[in-house]
Order: sequence, then structure tokens, then C-alpha cells
Amino acid sequence: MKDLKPSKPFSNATSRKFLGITKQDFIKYFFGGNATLAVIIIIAIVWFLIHNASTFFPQYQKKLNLYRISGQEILDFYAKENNAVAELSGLCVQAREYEIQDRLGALYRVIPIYSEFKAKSLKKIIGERKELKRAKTALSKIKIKPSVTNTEIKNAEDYLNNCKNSLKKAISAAVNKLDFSQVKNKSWPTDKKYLQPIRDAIVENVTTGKKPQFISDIEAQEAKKIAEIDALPFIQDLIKSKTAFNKPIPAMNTFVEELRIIADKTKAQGNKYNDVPNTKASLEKAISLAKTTEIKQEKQKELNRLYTIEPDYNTFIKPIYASKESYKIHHSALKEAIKSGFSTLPDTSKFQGKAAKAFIKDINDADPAQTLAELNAKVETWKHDEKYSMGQTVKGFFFGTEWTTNSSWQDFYGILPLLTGSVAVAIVALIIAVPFSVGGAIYVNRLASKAEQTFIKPFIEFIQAIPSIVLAFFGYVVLGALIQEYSQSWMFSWIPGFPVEDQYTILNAGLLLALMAVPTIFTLCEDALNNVPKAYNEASLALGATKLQTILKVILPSCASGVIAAILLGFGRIIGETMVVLLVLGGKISIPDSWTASAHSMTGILAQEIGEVNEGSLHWGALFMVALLLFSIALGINYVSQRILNNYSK
Amino acid sequence: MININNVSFSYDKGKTEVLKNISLDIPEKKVTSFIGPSGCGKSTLLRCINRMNDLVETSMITTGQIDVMGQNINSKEVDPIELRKHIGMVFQKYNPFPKSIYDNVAYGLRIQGIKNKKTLDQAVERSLRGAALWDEVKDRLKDSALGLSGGQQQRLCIARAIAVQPKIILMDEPCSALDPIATAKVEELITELREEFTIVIVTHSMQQASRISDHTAFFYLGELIEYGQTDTIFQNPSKKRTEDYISGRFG
Repeated sequence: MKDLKPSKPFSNATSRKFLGITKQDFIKYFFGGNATLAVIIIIAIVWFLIHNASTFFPQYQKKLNLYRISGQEILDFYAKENNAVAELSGLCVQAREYEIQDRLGALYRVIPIYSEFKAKSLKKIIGERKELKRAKTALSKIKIKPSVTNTEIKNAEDYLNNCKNSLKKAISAAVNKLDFSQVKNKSWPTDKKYLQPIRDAIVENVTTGKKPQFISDIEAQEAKKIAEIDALPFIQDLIKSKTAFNKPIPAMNTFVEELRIIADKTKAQGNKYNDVPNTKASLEKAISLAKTTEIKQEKQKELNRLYTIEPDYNTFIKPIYASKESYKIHHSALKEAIKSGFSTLPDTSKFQGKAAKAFIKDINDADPAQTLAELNAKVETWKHDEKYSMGQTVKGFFFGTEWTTNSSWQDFYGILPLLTGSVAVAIVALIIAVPFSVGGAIYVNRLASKAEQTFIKPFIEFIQAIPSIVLAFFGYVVLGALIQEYSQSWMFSWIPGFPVEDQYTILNAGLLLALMAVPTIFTLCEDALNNVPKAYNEASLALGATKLQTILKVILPSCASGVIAAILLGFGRIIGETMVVLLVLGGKISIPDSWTASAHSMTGILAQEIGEVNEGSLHWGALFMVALLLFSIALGINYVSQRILNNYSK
Repeated sequence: MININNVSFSYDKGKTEVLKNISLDIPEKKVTSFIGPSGCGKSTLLRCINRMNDLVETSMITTGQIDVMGQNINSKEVDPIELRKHIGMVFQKYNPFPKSIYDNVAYGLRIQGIKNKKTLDQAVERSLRGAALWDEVKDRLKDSALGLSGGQQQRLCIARAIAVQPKIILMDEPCSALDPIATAKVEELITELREEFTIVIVTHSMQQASRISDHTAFFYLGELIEYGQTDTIFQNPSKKRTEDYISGRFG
């Protein structure tokens, strides 16, 4: 063979083969196999999501039908009417409360500040207090000793007095360091004349253990002032309104509660009946697997006991239809209450406090009569045996404003609060992240010196390496409190949504997510800027343009699509993030009304609830629907940004 | 117009000199060409004239000075932005911006703050006519400049440069990326532009230099070997090395 070689110089017979595969082939198959595997896994994930989510809509439709046929729906209409009026009464109470708070001013905050300061200074004298306690027990022990000398008692008493003195000294020193700038809530009004009395009161309380006279005085003053305020004619009117609004509420409540028991019973039977096929299947399986005849017979008995007759909904619903007569009386009582409540409602201008004014404005803006009329129309046309259509069910999921689970009454799976929460956080995060990251990329790519580049770039890219849970902890413990505290300052009061009331808000989560999105956007943006031909830069400069003009008029426009794609991918990064929103967003399931409100997110709800639901249940299906939607959003964003990038590179 | 006096230049803070003691005077409203083998420093000298070398942070003129229109352009009171407004430049590889034809030509005026539509329209037409491109593009001014042919794009770059009405136009091998027909058109354009502008052109083609330029400077390894009337340089060079290069014996 060796001799033949020269005559066939291009033969491949020399390359080594293993199982008939050459090295080149092996490499080819290896990478080809990896790519195929990735595609298969993605298809499998999509199938798995769709498979699990597919049971949701039929199940949800069934549940909603039961909700209607059992009469729960109409009772909710009743309750909603009641709530619309009860809310007004609550607003009246709050308006009075805040008006008092405003009129009392610094006086209102004296006792809270006293408690805050006291707690603060007590922390500083822990040692002295322990010593005093020890001295006291020592003295009492000595006193009950059978043979005790006077000197011993005297020594112990002296020591006790010493301790008392040093405690007094320590607490005096501690309180003297306090002043109003240390109050946690910076928006509280304060008055210097109260500072020294508060300090003295703390010393008095700590040394004697009694309630200080100053505090009792303040309480008396407050009570007197509140009585004065309550005597004002417009507050009297407000109280009248509150009473008027509240008048029909308890009766209506009892009325609805009684009916609820009936509806609940119907629903329980309906649920049982609807579950029969499932129960039957599992029992039959158990029988076929049973080892002894005894177990088999037992299971068979259970199977025979199954409630296979459909509940007689038409009979069960009768009392609820009958209730419509009494409902009419309650309804007119509510209408009457609205009328008389509004008739005495004082004008906004009479109030001093901003918050109180806002509450009165809320009452005036509310249109309970309209709400009542709408609900009344629904009650009139309501029929228990009208089925929910599939369209209504789907709409109920995508446009439903309620996400209520594990309710003893009725579960609702409306995705809108979660979707708006996720999107709101992402938008806030983008608004914060985009200027930083795009500006940073421009600076690093076009303006920075070599030394700055080598310093800044790894720094920004390092942010990506921070585990999200660490950032979430930071937001949970530090950032939330910081935002809450500093947003109280008057400097920010012009910003809508400020001051921030909660620690865990869209703003807080948005800030952290912005930090996580910055590296993504920055890196991609920098790549896009890098791809701009150097010739554009030179041509522009040679025409007498400044660096800034060149960047704004030539460089950025020519890589705009790259920048937009970068921002979109940043958005994708944010919307899929879980840990931060789970911990820092506040977990409040409602459509956020401000960028400083609490909210919940799609990713957060998945992480929170998937562990506690039964496989195959309605709730399970709902969560998979959420996951599917999230997946579609992420896929859509990636697709769009890829398209933009492809167009750009052409 | 441009007086280069004993200039040495370095890209690395004076460690190695790319240009060594160059002195030459470039006359007004004439075409002056720089020739020489690759790496001889002719492009570097060209980019010294509008201070494009400022983009390289470590570059510096080590000795000598360059006066343009009587002013030392490397003195501290000179703003390179202002300088470049008076000295247009056309690059080796045509580089129109990814904008419309109109926006490309109007760019230089717009960054100077001119917003008046009529002024811009006039300037664009005048410049495109000046660059002998008007008839070819007048119906598609709003189309992307990147859709033009290579020769058209280069002439667009010339139009863009003359739109701001500079005194001097620097051309860095403007025809090296063009085919012979496009080259002929650009050369024709250069001979027309001579009436209005002082033109300095770097070229590798000796035929081109002899065809279009009034004066020619021959560089070799950072030194100016010979400078004079084009006819003299090509027909009767005084230095052996010039003759060798021109006759193709090296280079």
C-alpha cells in the first residue's frame, strides 16, 4: 500500500476514521446535533406551555357559568352597589381625620414624636437600665435575708440611688442630642416650643415610670381642639353626610350575607357534580389497582355513592329571584342615602388641609348614582341560565381587572393588573435606563479617552454579574426606605406621585431593573456605534462640524436601528426579570394608578403561586396562560429587534 | 495660499518622524498634486493642512509651521472647526452619509445654523451643478445617497465639500476607488473647479498628476524630493530619484 501512495497523492485514505466517521465529520455532527437539540427543546417548551394552558379556557368557562347559575353573580351586583355608597362614608371619615390633622399642625405630631424619640433614647441607655434592675433585685433580696445588717441595706440602697442617678444622667444626655431633624417622617410639621418639653417628658417617664404631665396636657389640648373642630358648622355637615351615606349600609349587608349562604350551597353542589367525572375516573383506577377484594368493595361503594344527578339549579335559584323585591327597597334606600349625603356635603373651599380637600374632591368626583344605575340595569336583565360564551371567557382573562385566587366565594383570573404592573415597571425602568446607557455608550465610544474606556466598560459590564436576588435585597432593605424618606422632602413635592407612601413600589423596582438593563443596552448600543463607519466621522469633522454635531446628526441617525434594537432587548430583559419584582414591587394585585404605587407582575405571580396549586386545576391553567403570554411577549420583542437589526445591517 | 515652512511631523509624540523638514508654497487657484510611493507621507501632509491629524491624539508637528491664508494654523488661537469650514476635504473612499442626496449636500450648511429653505435649495443646486451631478440627480434629491454609483457618490462628496464655499479643497486619492470612466469625469470636474478653488490632490497615478495639476511635489520617505511646475517635473526632473519614480523604475 505504501508504495501506491505517490501515485494517489490526493487520496483521503490516510485520515483516521472511528466507526466510519472522520474527525471533520465528527465536528460537523457534534455542532449540528447541538443546534438540533436546542430547536427541539424550544419546541418542547412551547408545546408544554400550550398543553398546560389549553385546559384553562374551558375550565374557566365552566366556573363562570356556575358563578352565574348559582346566583353569586347577582349578589355581587348587590354588594357592589352597597360598596359604592359605603366608600363615600369612608371618604367622609378620612376627610375629617385629615382636616383635624392639618388644623392641629405640630400639636398632632407631639405624641408620635415623643414615642419615636423615647424608643430611640431608650436604645442608648440599655446598660444603665440593666444595672438599675440589678440593683433593685439586689436590694429586695437583701431585705428578705433573715440576718441583715443596716449597713448592708444602706449600701444596697446607696448603690440603687447611684444607678438611678447615672440613669438620669445618661437619659438626659441622650435626649439632649435629639432634635426635630431626626424625625423619620420629614413631612411632619414641628414646632420648636415642643422640643424641650418632649425631652423633659422622656426623662420624667424614664426615671419615674409614670406618664408625664406634659403628655397628659397635650392629650387634653388635642381633645379640646378636636371638639372645637367638630363643632365647626361644616364639619358638622360632613358628619351628617357620613351618617346619611352610612344609614342603609348595615341592612343591605345583612340582606346580601343571608342570600350568600344559599348561593354558596348551590355552588358547592355544582362543584361536586362537575367534579364527578374526575372522581369517577380516579376511583375506577383505584379499583383496578386494588390488591384485596375488601378495598375493591369499599371503593365500589364510594363509586356508587357518587352524586350523579345534576343539581336542580332552577329550584335553588328561586329565593334569589324572589329577593329582587327586597332588593328594590334597598336600592331605593341607597339612592336616597346618596341624595341626602350629598345635600349636606360641605364645599371643598371650607377645608384647610390639602389631603382633606382631595378626599372631598374624590367624593364629588365619584358618581355613585351612575354606578348604581348601571348595576341596577345589570340586575334587571340578569338571567341565571344564560351561559358565558367562549368569547366572554377569553375577554374576561385578557381584559379582566381582577385576579382573585383561593377565594371562598369566586376566583377571577383577569390578567390586566399583572400585565399593567409588568409593563409599568418596564417603562419606568426604561425611562431611567435609556438615557444612562445610550449616553454612556456614546461617551465611551466617541468621547472618552483610552484610559476612561478601559475603566468604564468593564465596570458597566460587571453590573450584569450581580445576582438579581442581591439587587432585590438591596431594594428591599435599603432603597425602598431611602426613596420613602427623601420623597417626603418639599423639593420633590411637584413630582406627580410624590411623596411616596410605600417602600415597595414601581419606582423602587424600576430603579433596580434599570440598573439591570443598563449593561444590556449599553453593550449593544456600543456595538451599534462601533459599526458606524469611521469615514462618516471624518467626513463630518472635515466639513467643520463639532464632535457633538457629528454624534447627533450623523453617528446616531446612522445607527438608530441598532440603538432601538438595544432598547427593545433591554425591555425584554426587564419584563422577564422575576426576583426584583417579586420582592420589591409590593405584591398588590390591582391596576397601578401611579408610578409610585405598589403593583404585581406576571413573573412575580408565577413564582409566587405555582408552588401551591394542584396540577391540572383551573388556577394551574391560569398560571400557564400567564407564562404563555409572557413567553409570547418575550418572543415578539426578540423577533422585532432581530428584524430591526437585520434591516440595519443590510 | 498655503505656506509650509520646514515642517516635521510625528504620529507618536516625536519618537519617529513621518515628515522631515518639508517646505513648499502652494499657490492660489491652482491644482497642486502630491505624488510618491506609499508611506511617503503625502497624505499625512495633506491632513496637516486641515488639522485632521488632531484625531490621532499622539500626533504633533515637531518643528516648523503651516500658514494658511497668512495665519499659522497650529497656533493656539486657531479653532480647527473654523479652519475646516474653509478647507474642504474629499476622501479616498467616497463616504456620503446615509441620508438623502439633498441632506448630504446641505449638511455643512445646516451645521453652520442655516435653516432657510430657499438658501439651502439654492446652495444645493449650485453645489450639485458645480460637481457636475445636477442633471443626473435633480429628480431624486430625496433618495438615499447610498443608491448612487461609486463615481456619482464621489462627485456628491465633492458637492458636499464645495457647498460650504471653502477656499481650499483637499483631495486624498479621490479616484482610487473609481473605474476609468468615473475617474475621467472627476478629473474633468477638478479642472473646472480650478477656476474657483485652490486644490491640493494626493494621487498615485502619475498620468493623473500630469493631466490635471499645475504644480507637482514628489515625496519619498517623508522628504520632499522635488517640487515645481508639473511640466518641469515630468519632462525635466532635476533629481535622479524623481526621474526613476516617474519613469517607473521603482515605486
